[in-house]
Amino acid sequence: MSASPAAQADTESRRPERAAGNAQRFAWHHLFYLAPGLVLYALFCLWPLVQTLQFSFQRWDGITEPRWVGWRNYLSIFTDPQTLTVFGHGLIMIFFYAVLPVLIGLLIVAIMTRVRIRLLAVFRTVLFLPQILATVVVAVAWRWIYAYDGPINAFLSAIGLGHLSRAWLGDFDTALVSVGLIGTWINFGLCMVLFIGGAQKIGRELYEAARLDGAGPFQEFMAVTLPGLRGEISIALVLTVTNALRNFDIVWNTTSGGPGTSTLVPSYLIYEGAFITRNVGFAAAASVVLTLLILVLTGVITRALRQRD
Amino acid sequence: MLRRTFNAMLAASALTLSLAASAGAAEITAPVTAEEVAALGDVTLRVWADAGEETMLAKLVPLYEETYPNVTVELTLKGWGDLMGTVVNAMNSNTPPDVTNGNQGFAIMGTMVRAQLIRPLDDFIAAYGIDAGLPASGFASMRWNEDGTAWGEGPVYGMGGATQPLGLFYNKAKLEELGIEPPESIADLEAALATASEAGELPIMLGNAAQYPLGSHVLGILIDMYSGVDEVNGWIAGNEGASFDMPGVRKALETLEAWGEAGYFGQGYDGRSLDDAVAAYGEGEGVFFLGGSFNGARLAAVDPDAFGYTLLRGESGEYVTTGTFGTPWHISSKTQVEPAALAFLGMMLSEDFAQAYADVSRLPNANLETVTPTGSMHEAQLAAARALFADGEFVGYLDWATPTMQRTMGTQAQMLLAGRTDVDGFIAAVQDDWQAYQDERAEQ
Repeated sequence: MSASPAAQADTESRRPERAAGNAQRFAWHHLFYLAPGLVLYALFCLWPLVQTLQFSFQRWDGITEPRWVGWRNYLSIFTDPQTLTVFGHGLIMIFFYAVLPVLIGLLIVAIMTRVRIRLLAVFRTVLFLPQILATVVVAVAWRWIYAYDGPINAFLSAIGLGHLSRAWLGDFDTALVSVGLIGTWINFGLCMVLFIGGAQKIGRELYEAARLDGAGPFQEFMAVTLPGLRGEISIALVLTVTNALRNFDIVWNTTSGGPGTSTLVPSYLIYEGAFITRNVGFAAAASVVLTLLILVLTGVITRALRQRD
Repeated sequence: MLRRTFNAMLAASALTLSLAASAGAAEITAPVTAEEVAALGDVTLRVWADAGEETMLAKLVPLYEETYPNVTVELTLKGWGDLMGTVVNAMNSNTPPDVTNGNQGFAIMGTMVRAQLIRPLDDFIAAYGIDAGLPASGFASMRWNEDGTAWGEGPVYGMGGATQPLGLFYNKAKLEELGIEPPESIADLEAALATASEAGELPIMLGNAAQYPLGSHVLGILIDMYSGVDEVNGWIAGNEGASFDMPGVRKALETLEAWGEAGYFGQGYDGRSLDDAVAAYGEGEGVFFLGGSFNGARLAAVDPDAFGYTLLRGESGEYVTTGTFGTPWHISSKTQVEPAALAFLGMMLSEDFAQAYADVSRLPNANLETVTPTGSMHEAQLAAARALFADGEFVGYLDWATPTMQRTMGTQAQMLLAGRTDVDGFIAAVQDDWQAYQDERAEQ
């Protein structure tokens, strides 16, 4: 991708000397360079996509001969209340995986633009750590934190709120929120690092101007920091929303979708269909719906937050 | 083009299958000899196994390679979930494992039979005398019709090495403290639970974070207590007109609900993993533990004499329990080293090798009568298995009924205990799942 503007500049600079036909030859030349990447991409990304689309119209156990069932798999996704709830959980996850981390990241940056923080590098590294940790490790750690005899309940008992203690991941009322908050913890470091980088690019003179105009911390944030971070917010949201909808590992390693079906998410449904219940057609249809959902949402986000120059 | 490629692939695989079938059609009438294996030349035997078989295989593989020096065993161990997610596709590949663990039920064994991926083992069982002294009912879950659409009758496609009945573990010291005799029947157990609860002990240790084993093992044991073996097995096998709405099931669900209301499972069990629960029980938390005999190996490792194990007599007065001859072993129908594969299973399931299972507190099907136990708990487990083999009856696992049943039962059981559904709702949800699958089977 990055080659194309350079190529254009190159072509333009040569144009006075050479015939226009050369530009044609140049394009082929570049395609040749693209070919290895394109072949790999087509083989391992586009072709499976096409296959998934094909499977989604079949009833197939993954082994024996598939049967064509038309729209039946899609119909069952949109008519089965259970499946719709599962996709609903995916949307709820967006709040915990994307919205909350972005808000927390912005809050940290807002503080940092006003207050000088010592040991910023250490601070940043520690908060970014959850991003680097393997999610299995994160899940196991949080399973312990949320356990009935874990530290959260110990703390609650210590401050006289023992009646609130419960197995946070095993309770119908709290499991989804508890799983979601693990996602928040994982993702806010990423948002923060993106925003800190972005904030450092905002000119100091803008802040000085705002302060000269008598802006308070809140007004300064709204008028200078927030508009300056538009691009970073867009990137953060695209990454975290995708992460939210694809969420599988945390659920797999904490609740397996339970209790009941209260933490079942679309990816889990897809995994079960493809590997456990051997209903590959349904899993494929759910994948297609999930992919479209992610495409539409990220499309809307990038469009809404596009830089207007 | 897509369609055509696909059909071509199908045709090719069908051809391979029929070739493999004709190549492997030779049935054996006597155990494979060392010469027959040696005639293969230097070969590799690919084996896939559940991680639970690791200690057993660590003894078997060296012994086997010593006896058949021209064969190298290439072992792949997988966690249960991983194995279940990959074994069928692996067996369908062009280089499948020659010998593998699988699982009963439609999703794994049924699919492999339907696609003709595994070899019938009747000749092997007869030639090696594997079935000597074993109850015929234990083979039901390994028998399939040719289409792989119904089990219970037909050729045997798999065989396990060690039986794993579901039963009741008890903490001996705690029973003594509470002045309770080890329960022998469901009525005894109910009384003991009430006593334990009154004394402020946790009556049953349960770790159900993975929606298992409450809706499968605990409920399974209760259903066994109140139901007829044939009606439950008939429902699991998908017999026409069968219904989950049986009086025994109803009673089992009511009992489970009552246990939940009485707080017999304590608190936080849906947030505790099964592993953590077994570990906590081993450390002395909880009076009873309901589950598979296979949990015993870990408890025996803590203290071989601190815990007891028993099967329960149901309302019929008989030992009835969910169980099998263990995780089934299969031989690929495409294997190029069939004599080596047969010799491997033959050695694993032989009477001579049985003690190796017993040494890690397991319950070998072969020589169950005479193996030496690791301690008093293992001895109790062996006694229970002997009683079951002698005059008890095996019930299938409820989750064999449909590919989605594990999830449905696990979900419903959590909801029942949380007061989010009732017995009628539970039965309806399970029967809906069952019916949907029967409709699908009819289409196949």
